Parts: sequence; C-alpha cells; structure tokens
Amino acid sequence: MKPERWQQVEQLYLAALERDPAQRTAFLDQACAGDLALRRQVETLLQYETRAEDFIEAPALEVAAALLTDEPHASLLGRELGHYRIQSRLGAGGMGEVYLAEDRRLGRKVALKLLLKEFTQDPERVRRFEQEARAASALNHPNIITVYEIGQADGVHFIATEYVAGQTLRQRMRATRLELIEVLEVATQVATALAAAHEARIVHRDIKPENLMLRPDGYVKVGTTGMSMGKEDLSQHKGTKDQRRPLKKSGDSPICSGGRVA
Amino acid sequence: MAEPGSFLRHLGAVVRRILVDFARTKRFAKRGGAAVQVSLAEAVVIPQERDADLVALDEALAALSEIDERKSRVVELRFFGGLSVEETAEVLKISPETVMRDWKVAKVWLLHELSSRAATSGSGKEKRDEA
Repeated sequence: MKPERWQQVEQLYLAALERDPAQRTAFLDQACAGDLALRRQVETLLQYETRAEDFIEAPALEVAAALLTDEPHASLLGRELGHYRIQSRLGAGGMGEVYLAEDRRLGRKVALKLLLKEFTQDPERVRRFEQEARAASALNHPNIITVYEIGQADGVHFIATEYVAGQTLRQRMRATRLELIEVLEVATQVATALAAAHEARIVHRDIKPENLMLRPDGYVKVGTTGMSMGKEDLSQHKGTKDQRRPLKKSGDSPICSGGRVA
Repeated sequence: MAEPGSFLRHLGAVVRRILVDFARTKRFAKRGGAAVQVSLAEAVVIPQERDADLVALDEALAALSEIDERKSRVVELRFFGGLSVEETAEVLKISPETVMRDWKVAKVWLLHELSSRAATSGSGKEKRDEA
C-alpha cells in the first residue's frame, strides 16, 4: 500500500469510528464512492477494532522478563516442589512453564504447570491461573485432561494435571496426512469433551491443534489452558458473545483444522 | 547525554533490537534443537510462543514504517520503550492526542497485518529482508 493510499484509509477509518456502528455502512457507501478496494480496507480495520484494545498494551519489557526466564530452568530440574519431584521440562507458555514431575506420594507421573515467578505478585494473573484449574477440575471426562491438584510451594503456584505421553494434533498433522477416519475420530472426541464442558457451563476459549493431545491408544485429550467458568469470566472479557461458542474461531477449530488437512 | 530527551528517544529502538534478536535466536535454537525437545514439548498444552510473536511484530512494524513512519515510531517508543503518551508526544514533538490516535490506529493495523501474516503461515520473513 502506498503512503497516500494509507492516509486515505486511515482518515476514513477514523471517521467511521466516530459514527454509530449502524450508520457506518451508509457512511462508507458514500465516502468510498464505488472504490471497493478502499472500502474493504477500511472495513477490515474496523473488524479489528475491539480485538486491538488490549493488544501490546503491556510494555515489551514486562514481557521480556518472561521471555528471559523462558530459558530452561536448570535449577528446577531434580528439585522438589511440595511432594513433586521435577524431572524434565516439557515446555513453556504465556503464563508459565510445564514440567514433567513425579508425584512421590502416589508414585505417578504428572505434568506440573508453574506460574511464572514474575506473575505471582499479580493477583489477576494468579486468579486466572487458578481459575483455569478450577474450571477444568469441575469436569470429569475421558477426553479432558484431569486436574489433580492446585497448590503453592516455596512461593511457586502450580497446577498438577494428568500427564499425557503422546503428541499434539498439531504435531500429528505435521507428520503425515490425516486420514478422514482419524479426523472424524478426533472431531468426535473433541465434540464430546466440549459438550460435557458446555453442560458444566465451562467455556474453552482456546481449542486448537496445539491444545489437543493424542494418546497412542487413540484417546484425544483436550488441554486445560483457556478453560474458564462460564459466567464469572465472561463479565470480564471483551467480545464475550462470540467466545461462548467454543468452536467459534473457524481457523482454530480442531474440526476445521483437521478438515483442512484431510 | 547532551539533550535531556535523547535517552528516551533511543530507548524504544534499543529495547526492540535486543528483544527481537533474542527472540529470533531462541526461535532458531528451538527449531535446530527439535530433536532434543522431543514430541512432549506441548504435552500439557500451552499457549503459543511469545518469542515468535515478537519477531512477527518486529516485521509488521517494519512494514508499517514504510507507509507510516510516525506510527511505527509511536509503537516503538510506547511498546518497546515503555514511554507514556506524554513522553512519546514530547520525543516526537506532536500532541498527546495525536499520539493516542496514532497508537490506536497502529494497533489495529498491526493486528490485522499479523493475522494476515499468520494466515499465510511462516512466510512473514521472506517478505522483507532489510532493516
């Protein structure tokens, strides 16, 4: 796009924003005067308006601390946290790191999700971290990862969940083409899980191939990240109406992704 | 340090360079080290990679600077430099209202740019090699 063209798009975008949403169509009809490309560009920007509200609002340096601590926590390996012995690091995400650990009381493997240290001082983060566990633990379903425990030891907040040895749907999709029968199999199991969640008034806002574990025995496990209690959470999120439909984002829906691959 | 504002003026660019380089190196190492990471990396399902996001944002910001230099500076100063609206206004010698407006529009533009880059998955890099 040329700078001059962009100026035009920007001006129309700002002008449209000032108008009531109901009047924007009429306004753009007139202002774009048949320039369909221009109109599309302005409309595209308008679509992102609500989503952009929180985008990059937290300064990069706040994110940086998390990024730096993203490095393998060698110090944690072999250490004990409560009755868990940390064995290896499985990965890291937005709010924390995930380790494979052994529950010494029961002698079983668990996945231990730790809230990043710099977030432990932030009550809102802690609340969200715990809420995710609470939402997931309200569910008892073979296709949803089981939450064993939520706790705090040595100042570290953690969630202990079932450990699934297997691969994510994303990894599976990268490996080889999925057969239609596999796609249906995964889709059915995910749908069952989401139906159960819906039944319990729990929304899963993050269904995507990365969040679905495939066990070697054929079971699909929906991860707990992104789960929240229906009502409580909805009041605090923007664009909530859409989020109540668990499979709303077509690009992220396992069925669509599966479908794309198939 | 001659001018009082000169530190703030460069802060954003410096932080951006450091963070993005770091994120890029890490992403690279991750790819190379895939064999070590094993297939369990996502075992418990984690929201997606922040470091990749920073690299993509950096690229989108470079694209923005080509059509609207000032807006990309506003984002650099505010997001990477952590400057307030007033500080940004002072550095760029524009009004706080303009900073707010630029910020708002730039965020929408960037988000759209990132989404379309994500849609054409992974090809973001090839688009631009300068900077």
